[in-house]
Amino acid sequence: MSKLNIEKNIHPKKLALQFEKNKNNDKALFLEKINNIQLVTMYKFLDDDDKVLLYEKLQNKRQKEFLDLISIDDLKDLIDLQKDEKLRNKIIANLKRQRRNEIIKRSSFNYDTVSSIMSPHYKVINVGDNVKDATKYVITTSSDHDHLDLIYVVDDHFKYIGTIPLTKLISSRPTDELIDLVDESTPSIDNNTSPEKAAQMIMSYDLPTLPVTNMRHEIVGIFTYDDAFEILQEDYEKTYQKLASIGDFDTDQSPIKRTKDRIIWLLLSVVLNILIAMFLFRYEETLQTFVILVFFQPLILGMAGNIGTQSLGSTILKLNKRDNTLKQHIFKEVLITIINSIIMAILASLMVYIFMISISSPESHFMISLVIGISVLTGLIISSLFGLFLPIVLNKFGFDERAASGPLLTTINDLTAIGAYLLCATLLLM
Amino acid sequence: MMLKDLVHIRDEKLTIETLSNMHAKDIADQIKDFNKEEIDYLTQLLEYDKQIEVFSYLPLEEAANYLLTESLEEQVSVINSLEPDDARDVLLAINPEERKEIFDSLDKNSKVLELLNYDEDDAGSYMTNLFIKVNISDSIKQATKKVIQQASEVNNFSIIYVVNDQLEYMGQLTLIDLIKAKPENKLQEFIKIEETFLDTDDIYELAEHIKYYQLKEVPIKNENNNLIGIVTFDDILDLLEDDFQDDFEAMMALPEQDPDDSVIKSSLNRIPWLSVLLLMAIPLAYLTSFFEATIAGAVILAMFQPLILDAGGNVATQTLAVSLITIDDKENTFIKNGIKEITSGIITSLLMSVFAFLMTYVVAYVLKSNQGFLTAIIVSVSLFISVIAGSVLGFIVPLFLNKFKIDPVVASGPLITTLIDIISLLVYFGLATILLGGQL
Repeated sequence: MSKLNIEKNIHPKKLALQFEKNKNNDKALFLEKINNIQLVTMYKFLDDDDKVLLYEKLQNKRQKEFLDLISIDDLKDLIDLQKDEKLRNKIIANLKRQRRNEIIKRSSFNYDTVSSIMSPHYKVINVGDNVKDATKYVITTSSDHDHLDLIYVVDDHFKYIGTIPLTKLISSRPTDELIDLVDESTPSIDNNTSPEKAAQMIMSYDLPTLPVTNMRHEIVGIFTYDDAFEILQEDYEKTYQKLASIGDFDTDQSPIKRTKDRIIWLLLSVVLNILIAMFLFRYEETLQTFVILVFFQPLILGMAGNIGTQSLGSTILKLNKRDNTLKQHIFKEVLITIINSIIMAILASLMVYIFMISISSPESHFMISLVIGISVLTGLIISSLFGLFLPIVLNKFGFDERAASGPLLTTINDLTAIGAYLLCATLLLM
Repeated sequence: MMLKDLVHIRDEKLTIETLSNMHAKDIADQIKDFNKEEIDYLTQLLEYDKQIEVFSYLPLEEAANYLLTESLEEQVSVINSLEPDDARDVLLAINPEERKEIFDSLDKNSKVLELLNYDEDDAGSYMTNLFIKVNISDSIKQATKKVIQQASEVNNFSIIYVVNDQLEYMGQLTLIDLIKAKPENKLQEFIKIEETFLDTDDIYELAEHIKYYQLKEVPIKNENNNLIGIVTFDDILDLLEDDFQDDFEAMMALPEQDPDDSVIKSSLNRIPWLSVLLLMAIPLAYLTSFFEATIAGAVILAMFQPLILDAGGNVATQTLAVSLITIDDKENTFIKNGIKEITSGIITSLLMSVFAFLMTYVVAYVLKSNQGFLTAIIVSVSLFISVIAGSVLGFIVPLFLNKFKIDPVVASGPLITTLIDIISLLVYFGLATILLGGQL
């Protein structure tokens, strides 16, 4: 049995590391050596597997104490981490009534709104209270989990009025009136707001917490800065996932599951590509006569893809900002598309011309350069407009604009670019 | 009512009332396009503190421009009233000559000047020196008194820092603990020691820490171990957001986006990337030229080339996305994840190539191509290899770039695309030359 010496004033993070390092068999013993406060404070520093283990290894009586002491957020987290439905229900059954109701209420909220992640750990005072009573109320009833930077002020109907920083409250004079201390400019968010929008608000107003209100403008919870960190990170990962069409990625996923999540779009792109092949077959004769056209297929395909990606990226960034200048953006992007397509078409035909002279001397190298120029121009304009409008249309109809990228768009771009190329070649060369 | 209307109506009472109910950030959002006269009218109706707060929410360029329209005396006063880290950012947005003029008028002990010494990526340049500190030897009563005295300067804090006589960090406690404490308690009983950072530490390291532990702020000390400031969550959120935008732009082959750039400038900014990608097409054309005879003998091959190039590229993009999500994880997690990706790539390539074989065979039959079976074999085998190459490269390339301290987000995309194109092309036409060679 390993020796378990635990320093008295050890930081919860170090404690969590020690717990993680212990062998599974020693974990129960380790937990017996620490008190409930240490247990609760170290919980949030553990990784997911160890969070579950910690709860499992506690004795029955202590499990109940633990469930009673951790914050609602951590509690919800612990329940969500249980893989087995039975275990989840067992934890819920172990809760005291008030906590159980809070958890049930939360799990019924829509996952796409702040309601599902808001915290109940905040303090509200009535604007009619006298300053001394209000201060005393906040101080005596607050718990360790509460976010106390801003105290929320409501009227008699529990409608949200504004905030008072705790510091202002405690340094106020007994003769002050609460109404004079309230900052009514602190914004609130509706409980149907998306978490991403709430995180944006936290960022733009530099606030540690934001009050969440219902349709009657009553406070129902707060959205906190730590959630903003999480949402930002998730949003970041979601962007990668959407751009590459990889579904809801998770490091624990097996290779089979990964394949299952992605294969549909890939196979669809195979189908589309083979349909393109059938279509290209109409130009067999052109290619037969000018095999050199095949040399530049990757160029035509690549250029269209790249410019499409640029306007797609710029449009997604624009839509993220949610300001009202979309029309200007469209106008500007269209102009950029025209300018850049012309420049790239000239560069591409020059380059192809030089290339052809340097490898051999086919008779129609001027005409082929011209074909390259015209088809690069049309291919670029079309795929750039796709990149511009596809996300806007998806967004308008309530879809995630980031889904506009991925295998399908690539294939559509290919079709237009190669189509323009071979059509143009047939018209000019044959 | 919009502020613009209020400025034109000139009803002072109504304007003052409206302004007092507006958050400084919302005022800043509305006035950033106003002319100087309009801004001056509004600011004279605001308390000085709120003026400063509004100023701090203005986009840096607007803030700098507006500041320059003021008298030097006023400029110095604004700089001194701003939080030092905000003041630093505004100063750096002003052109060097005028900046120097303000510098020379600032007090030599000004905190802003200290912050200007830091590098952009130093934790110190994100630091504010507005925080509440008490001495470890203070009694609860003394400490409370000190906190209330300092409270007017630092708004909205909930953490109190504890230092010794040498100003070294001894720990911290929450405001609420201090208030709840009884007079006979000692500060020591409530103190928690959190991890501190040096002012010269890398801000991204600090950002990871604050994000991982979801902290509200982190104490910063200098090389003499003195507590000199704190970095708060809001600066880190902004940093992460900017960083994310940079990564996203890099992924989408975009230059840094500035909505104020003219159309011509925005267009020209995008040309370098497009040209680099255009240049990469030349080696591909050159490689293809070796197979001219093969292609001439079986033009149908050209029809399926987009399929081969796309399939490898698509799978590489997917694995790359996974790699970029997990690149900051521990190395063995990253590698374990990569092995899963490659396994998945092998399964995917099997499925795709069987599927492509059948479809190509049918299509070639419909089109009455006389090399239908061989073409289907060539297409499906090349697809198989190119998809596997895609998943291997999507994992190896970022790992490799990261090892050499090159940003994998910026460089992976174009590098992988080019490699995939080269591999697919060689395999596809090479295989065709071998299999169809007899029929040429």
